[in-house]
Amino acid sequence: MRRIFQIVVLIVITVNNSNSKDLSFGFQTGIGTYSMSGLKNLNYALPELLAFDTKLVSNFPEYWYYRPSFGMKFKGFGIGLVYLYQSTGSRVSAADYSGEYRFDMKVKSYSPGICVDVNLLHLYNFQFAAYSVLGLLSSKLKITEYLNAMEMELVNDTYDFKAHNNYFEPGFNFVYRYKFIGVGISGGYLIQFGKQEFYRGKYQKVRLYEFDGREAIKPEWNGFRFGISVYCNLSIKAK
Amino acid sequence: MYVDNIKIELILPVLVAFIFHSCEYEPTEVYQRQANKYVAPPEIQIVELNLNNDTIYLYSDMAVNFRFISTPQEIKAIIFYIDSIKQKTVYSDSGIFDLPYNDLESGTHTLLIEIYTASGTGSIADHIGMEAFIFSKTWTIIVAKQFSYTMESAVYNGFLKLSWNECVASNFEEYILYRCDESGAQTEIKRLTASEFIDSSYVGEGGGYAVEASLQNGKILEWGNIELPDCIPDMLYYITETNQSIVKWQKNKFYKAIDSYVITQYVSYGRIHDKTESINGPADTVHNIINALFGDNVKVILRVIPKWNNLLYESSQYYMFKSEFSFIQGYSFLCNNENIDYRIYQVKDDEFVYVSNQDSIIRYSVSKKQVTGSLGYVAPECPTGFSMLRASPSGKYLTAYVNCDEDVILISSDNFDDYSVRNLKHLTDVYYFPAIPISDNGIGIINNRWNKLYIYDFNSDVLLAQFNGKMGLRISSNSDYIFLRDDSLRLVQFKDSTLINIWSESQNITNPFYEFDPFDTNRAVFWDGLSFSVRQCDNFSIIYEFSLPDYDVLDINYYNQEILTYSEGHLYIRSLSDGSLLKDIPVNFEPDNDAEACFLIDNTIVSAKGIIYFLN
Repeated sequence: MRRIFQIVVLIVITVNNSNSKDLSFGFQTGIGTYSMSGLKNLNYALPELLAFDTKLVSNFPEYWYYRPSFGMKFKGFGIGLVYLYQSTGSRVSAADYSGEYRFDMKVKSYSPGICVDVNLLHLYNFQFAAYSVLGLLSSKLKITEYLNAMEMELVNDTYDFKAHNNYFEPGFNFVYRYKFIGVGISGGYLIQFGKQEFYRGKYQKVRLYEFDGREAIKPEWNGFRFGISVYCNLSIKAK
Repeated sequence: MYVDNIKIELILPVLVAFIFHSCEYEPTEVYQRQANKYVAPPEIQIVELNLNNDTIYLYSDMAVNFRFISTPQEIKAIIFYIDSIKQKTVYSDSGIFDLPYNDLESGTHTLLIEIYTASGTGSIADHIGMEAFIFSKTWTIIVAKQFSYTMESAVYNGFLKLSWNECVASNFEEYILYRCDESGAQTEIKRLTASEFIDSSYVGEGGGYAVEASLQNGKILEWGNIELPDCIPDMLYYITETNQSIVKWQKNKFYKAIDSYVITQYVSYGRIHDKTESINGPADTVHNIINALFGDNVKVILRVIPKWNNLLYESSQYYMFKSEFSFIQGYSFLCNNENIDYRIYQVKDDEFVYVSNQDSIIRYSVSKKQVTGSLGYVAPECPTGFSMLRASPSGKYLTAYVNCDEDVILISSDNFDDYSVRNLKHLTDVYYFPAIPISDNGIGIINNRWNKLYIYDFNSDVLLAQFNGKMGLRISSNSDYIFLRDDSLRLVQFKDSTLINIWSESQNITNPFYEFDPFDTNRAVFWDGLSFSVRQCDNFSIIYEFSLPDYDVLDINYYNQEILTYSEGHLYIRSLSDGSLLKDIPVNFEPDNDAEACFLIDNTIVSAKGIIYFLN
């Protein structure tokens, strides 16, 4: 965190000392794929533990991510800050006239990062650039188990877990600029690194394990990110 | 867009960030399972359930073994309630539930069993046991904490029949029947489920039986016991007037269990014992006494031989199968435990008197074979008996000592209510109680310790005369004559307060017999050991005489004119007129001994042993 802070400070100083620069505000959203293999294993193992048949109706599907950004454009490259918010989840479900069972897992991450892009091709108003983002992955997992039978709520338990890791996302984006507005598409692959598993409690002593108890589970946000972006560029003239 | 717009441009992304946080993934799809809400209830079959009746009697802990089959829905759980309080839940279709005897109060309780089966709908609730068919049944439990046990016996068709209360405990298994000997040791003889048992081996030997109730949980309950009285029949002794004697017993109640009786007869006299043994059939009730003479001590032992194996019938315990009876051969005129003073006096032709148990005088008729009178004299301050009983020659009067002060009583033998008591210690001196011979007219002779003879009129309580140096022995019926001893044995006439010597014998004759005829006041008899003579009293001349060389003259029956004599091993009845032998009764005792003295009364010989021999 300290290192990230230092980088942010460096960027701000750089921006302030620059004689000619464009400020760029952007917002990107799109579909991300999420590995989450550890959590998926929970879903696969759960039916074996239940007395009745269930169905995995949702298993960490592709889902929208949102990424606002702020940066500076220099000649040939840009540097900035991004904030990535992504979420996905799963549900094991069963319901009939007698009641309902749900096992929901919702996971999301709050991920500030630093983005650097390099122009590869600039033709007319089109710009093709490679980018990479390096950031933090602060994940939150909420597990809710609910069982209602014969109009009696038998189980309604919620467990919250956290995990902190890092990510690196390389990719490309293709932007069409018109005046100070830019519209683009991008594609990348988020690579999570860091080894922290989901945990609860003050001292991270309670960890989330697979049902067989052998391996602790950590978030796995690895996956493709395909999105569309809108940019607004502001030119700042040095006095 | 320029710097002025920067604020607006910065706010927008922040707002966007807040907005997309609300766009978190939310799973919404629901899987609707297939479940058939309407299914028929299952059929429950009882494979095993040891609660056979609606009412369960509990005498101890009881294990309820259960197993049910439910089709098509399976059994999920079985719940046991006692008095509506859940006791146990079994998540199975079979198992064991313990009815806790010790935890339950005595009295009535309720057992409820609920069987929960799957509903069969396949629903979530069905799978997690929230939906079920319930079958239930209730039993009444009666906890018996204080129960009495009894055992009864009866005779059934010649056998012993034992019965006891039925054990209604629901986990009852069987009864265990024990035979108990007199020490209390128990031996198992039978295991059975019926509450009665016929013991074909029991012959009435007594002892006991005990029964225990065995429960299926291994608990043993003492269920009853009985102590049977000894029913080996008691014997009774009978003797006919022909002196044929038998012992007789009642037919044994358990006659069908009897193989035979072994009768062992012991006849003893002195140190001689004669043993005979005979075997009688189970139907016999009589044993003839053989080889026993008048006065012999006889013991008869009756031993019952069981027909079938009797656990107690072994040599060390033969006593349980025995009945013993001891008696003296002869007709007993005594009651049970009655002691007799050895002196017997004839008071009528067929009656005699004796002192019984030292506290009463009994008059007994040999012809009637019954007591015809009794006198029990109760002293004012101390119960004392009669002592030194004497009778007048005909038996009209009796004298004896009574009271703590040993006063002299005069009794009319015809009427025991007619008696008088007087203190004659001024004549006899204190602590000296000589027998007082008395005449049939009430004149007695009293000897004191200083060899002084008093002639005392009991009618008027007047001292008629006194003489020194003489000891009166007999006084005639009319009190005219007295046998006395001074330097010789003398016959004297008492006349005008003086004694006139009639006859004397200075020779020391061994064991002479002399007495006055009670009916002829001028007659006396005299036996010197060889010759027996009947004499005139006034001059002691011989009226007639015959040789009588017997060992002893015991008694004379003046009614029948017979003499009872004894020679070794024989009692002889002889004619008083000529001494001819009328009857010879062999005996093994010695009647010249006071305790076994014999007297001739009516047509019987009466012994101080308490027995009568019939002469006809």
